Amino acid sequence: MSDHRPDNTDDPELDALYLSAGSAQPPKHLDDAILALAKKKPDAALKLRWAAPLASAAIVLLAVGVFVNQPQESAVEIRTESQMELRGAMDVTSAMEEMEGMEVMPATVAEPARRSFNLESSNKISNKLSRTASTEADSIKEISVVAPTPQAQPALAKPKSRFRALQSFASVRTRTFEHEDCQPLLLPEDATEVIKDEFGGTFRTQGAEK
Amino acid sequence: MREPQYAELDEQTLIDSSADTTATAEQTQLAERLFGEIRKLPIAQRSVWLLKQESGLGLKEIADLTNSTVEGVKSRLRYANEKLRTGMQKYVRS
Repeated sequence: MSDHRPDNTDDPELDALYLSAGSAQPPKHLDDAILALAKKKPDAALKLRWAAPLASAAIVLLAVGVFVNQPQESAVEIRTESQMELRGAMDVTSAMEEMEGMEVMPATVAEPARRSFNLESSNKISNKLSRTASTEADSIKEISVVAPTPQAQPALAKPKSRFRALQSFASVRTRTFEHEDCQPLLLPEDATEVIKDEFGGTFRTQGAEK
Repeated sequence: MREPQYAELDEQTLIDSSADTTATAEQTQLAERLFGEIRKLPIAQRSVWLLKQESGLGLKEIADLTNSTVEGVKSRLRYANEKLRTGMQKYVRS
């Protein structure tokens, strides 16, 4: 066994082994040669004389390109917006001209309640009214399908045509429909007969009962 | 395509370094063996043994650091030394 004393915690041989093992390194001259090359070569590799001028030229070119293209982009945006406005105007005009040829749908406008309001009955009446309206709308749709579609629209709507469309809206006469189960409703005069047959009630024109 | 530029060592430098190769290999083998034996030690013995080798602390200080007693440190060092000597028989005198 070992010749060292049992109480002695030092072991010179092991200490020496550990020291020599820890100091295992490559030869110094090889180390120096590698270090010298490592210091020298990166400088040589970075000799790109044209890199800095090229980067500067690229930056200048990019800046010029941005400035040159900036006004063109805004012009394109303005043109697009004006085109969209023109297109919207054309759509409105065509819709109005289509409406000139057809009867105006019955519209319901609620007035302030003057009677006790029964919600359930009112809903029933509203449903029936909407069914009647949808039936009429279907018939109108059929007519409009048969009617020839308008051809290419002019670039700008003529004021006269617009005015005619508004006039046709204004010419629709309405009456107030009053029923004990619902709020007074403002309905087109053309629908009065159908609605009166269906629901009863009274129609009022400018305060006079019909 | 640009060729990668490597740092080249001159031939003489490589020949000179080969003279030390044998000695270096032996030393490396010894180091690997010793570190292998150290890794085999239980953690308590290993930490005490490495603290003594690396820091040069006294037994009392190692005992304080490891929350142990001086006698406990001594015991661990003795066991660690015995195991390392057994493992390194080829390199130490019995």
